[in-house]
Amino acid sequence: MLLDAARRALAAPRGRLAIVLHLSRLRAPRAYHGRIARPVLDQAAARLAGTVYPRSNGDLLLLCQEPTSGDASLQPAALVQELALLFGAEGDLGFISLWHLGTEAAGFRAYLEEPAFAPPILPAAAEEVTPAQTAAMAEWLKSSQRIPVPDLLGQQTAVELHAGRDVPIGSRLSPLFREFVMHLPGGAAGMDPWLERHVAAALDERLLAHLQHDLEEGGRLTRASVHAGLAIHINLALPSIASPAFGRLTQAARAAGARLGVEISIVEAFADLSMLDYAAGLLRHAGFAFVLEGLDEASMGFARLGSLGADLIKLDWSQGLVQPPGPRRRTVEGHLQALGLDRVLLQQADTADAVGWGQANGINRYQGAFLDSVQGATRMFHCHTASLCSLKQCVARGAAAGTQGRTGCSNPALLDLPPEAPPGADSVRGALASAAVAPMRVPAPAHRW
Amino acid sequence: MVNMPAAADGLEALGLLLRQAAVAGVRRRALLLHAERLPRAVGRQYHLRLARAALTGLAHADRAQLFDLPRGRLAVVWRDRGEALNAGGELGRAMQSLKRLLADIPDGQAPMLGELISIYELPDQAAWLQDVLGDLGGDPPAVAQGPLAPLDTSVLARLELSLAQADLAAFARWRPVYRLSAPGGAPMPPVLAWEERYFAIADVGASLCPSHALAADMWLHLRLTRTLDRRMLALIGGIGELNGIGGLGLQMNVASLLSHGFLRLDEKIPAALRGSVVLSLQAADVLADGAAFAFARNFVRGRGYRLMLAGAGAALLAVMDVAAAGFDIVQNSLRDAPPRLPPGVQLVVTGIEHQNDLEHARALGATYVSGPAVPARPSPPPMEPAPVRHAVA
Repeated sequence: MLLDAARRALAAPRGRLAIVLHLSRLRAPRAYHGRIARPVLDQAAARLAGTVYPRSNGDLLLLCQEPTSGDASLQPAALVQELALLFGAEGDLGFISLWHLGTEAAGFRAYLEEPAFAPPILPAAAEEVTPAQTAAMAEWLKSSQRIPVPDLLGQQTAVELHAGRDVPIGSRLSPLFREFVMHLPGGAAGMDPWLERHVAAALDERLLAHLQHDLEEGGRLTRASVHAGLAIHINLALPSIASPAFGRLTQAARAAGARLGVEISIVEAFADLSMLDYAAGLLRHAGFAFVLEGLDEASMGFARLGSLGADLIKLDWSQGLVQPPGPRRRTVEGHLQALGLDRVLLQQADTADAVGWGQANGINRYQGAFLDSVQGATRMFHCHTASLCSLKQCVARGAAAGTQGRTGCSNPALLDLPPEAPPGADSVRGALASAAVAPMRVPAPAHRW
Repeated sequence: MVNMPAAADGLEALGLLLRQAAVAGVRRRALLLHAERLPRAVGRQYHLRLARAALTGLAHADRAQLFDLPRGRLAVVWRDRGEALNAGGELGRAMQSLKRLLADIPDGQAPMLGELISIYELPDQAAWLQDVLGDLGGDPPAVAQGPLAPLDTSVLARLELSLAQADLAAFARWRPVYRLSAPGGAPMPPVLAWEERYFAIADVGASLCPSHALAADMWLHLRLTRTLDRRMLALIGGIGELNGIGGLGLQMNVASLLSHGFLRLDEKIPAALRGSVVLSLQAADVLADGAAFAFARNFVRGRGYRLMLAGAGAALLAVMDVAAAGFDIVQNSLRDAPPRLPPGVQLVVTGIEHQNDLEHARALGATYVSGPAVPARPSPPPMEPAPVRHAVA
């Protein structure tokens, strides 16, 4: 239908316009982008005697008549401006095209001949609300009671990268802390921020009790970190920090000589700032690190987290942080400076691009799949049974806190050890280059590390 | 801080302390939390826990002791260092936490802070406190029919199913918001600016889920508001609902602004009315998905609607640049610490319960007010044309 209409327009191009909203070029496409943009184009179509056609890759094409009136609201430039304002920073990235078919048909033809690859639509927090989501979550919460706490947990080690030519290659990566995080079911909780917060809070009591017991008994979950002096981080809801269970964990951590940090979601923080203030006081009193996590690029511009007194602020990596030279880049840099680079950690740094961006912007602390791969490669270098496994397997097993996720590992004790400096970065890079861990890129150049 | 055992023992221990303080003449301060004045319908146990957490902030005060008393009351006694109630110390922070707790309770159900707590200067007012404690002696009455159970996911799932089919029109309410100053800032008699539409969630709960407190779990309560958003959008978009409306206020989730339901309502709202439609969001929702918020903000502002941030007290505005976020209006309760307004952002002060509150609101720079004591003429507001807006980068 789209192609038929395009052929007809190209057959009689005089006085006709083609406007394309390239939703397929969005860096983080969501279902709501198309849903909201469609009525905007439909209204323009009504004004300009045109029709909107969706393309298989999600792009929206408006074919219409050029306005004959001088009315500014009817001019195609007004529509382009409206779309650019709607999409904000994305609007600068050339994802709106306008062709006067009488003179610019070649450009439109070239667009039609491009393969229409559909990008994956990111799961949006909360597209629609259904009782089934809540029922599924209730069922999961019930069944999770039968699962041992470690099997509900994932673990990830955050690292600090030391840049500079004078830093020995083996000292360029050092562990900062190990974070234990509850693996929530990907369905309902991933779709709704409020259900997610509820479930996380509901699991806190079990997490606190298990960690307390593990610290008191020298259990496997915390033993290696405590011996290595590596801090342990957990995510908690604010009321959980004020609970008796947290007090008991504090005592157990002190007795075991463990260093603990507590990560609080900024959603939780902004839901009750006075409770946050109180909880932060408790954390300081207990000697725990106070971490705020979950800041994204869009929120950086208006959330002044720097004044909340956190020891560490975790910024989510996204492509939106990458800006061409100009005002927007300076704005992002200004936001980073306001946060304080010495307390920013870039999380979800899953690719070399993410780490490269962080390094270029003065960030030295990271968490993410890319660093997990580096640590996995280092681990395999030291593992005498490494030949039995792939790097992908080693990374996946290292991310599991429970025994269930470690099945197949012949040397599980190594999974809990903090990453050691490899004898030579070349070996690490060699392991990385041969590994099939997705997403895998060529590591950053040595001088950046 | 010393934490005393529950109820009767706590009562006895506090009585002993009061007698000793009177004899020794040591200056102390006592705070009594009247937990029974927390509304039952909002899950008193949950709020009691939060109130206790707020009061345990006094743990660092000199010689602080916490006493559990009958009927769920709590008392904290500490050595007085002459700290003002609004100071930034432990007491000041505890007050802020309690105010915040009260602000979370739906309008009309929350007691005033002064009703929830009493503060006594010891030993001068020890006899007053003794009298109150005397009333607590003997056999305390059972806590009024016991607290409601907090909402859980199983019950919420059933409630969401019920809500999908129930006629909610009977639960729809509106409250007026009045303009207090002219666009140039000059004071003027209160005039109706918009009517805020909402569902009386407590009434929904009493009717559809009477054994559970819908507001007891903050996150499940917020999840419930998403379901109610959808129903409200459908209700407002119904035939005749928009007739004669001069201004409209809706409490929404970000996701609801990006939903089909909002798009359908948007089609029905005349362009000239959009400038008088105020869409209210919560800070936590804004931060939950910054990208979604930014897109929703660009969309609704581009269409001419106005965005309001709810619960925007001084603490929130200290950590959130509301102008950069793209909010036109912030809403704050009179009970909360007043915010410092950035240029170009208007203030709605809620909770106007006395005539004096109006003058207080004016002094705070409020453009709009709401509350039972606004002596307003409910005349239709002047229609404001939808302004042309620019997206916030």
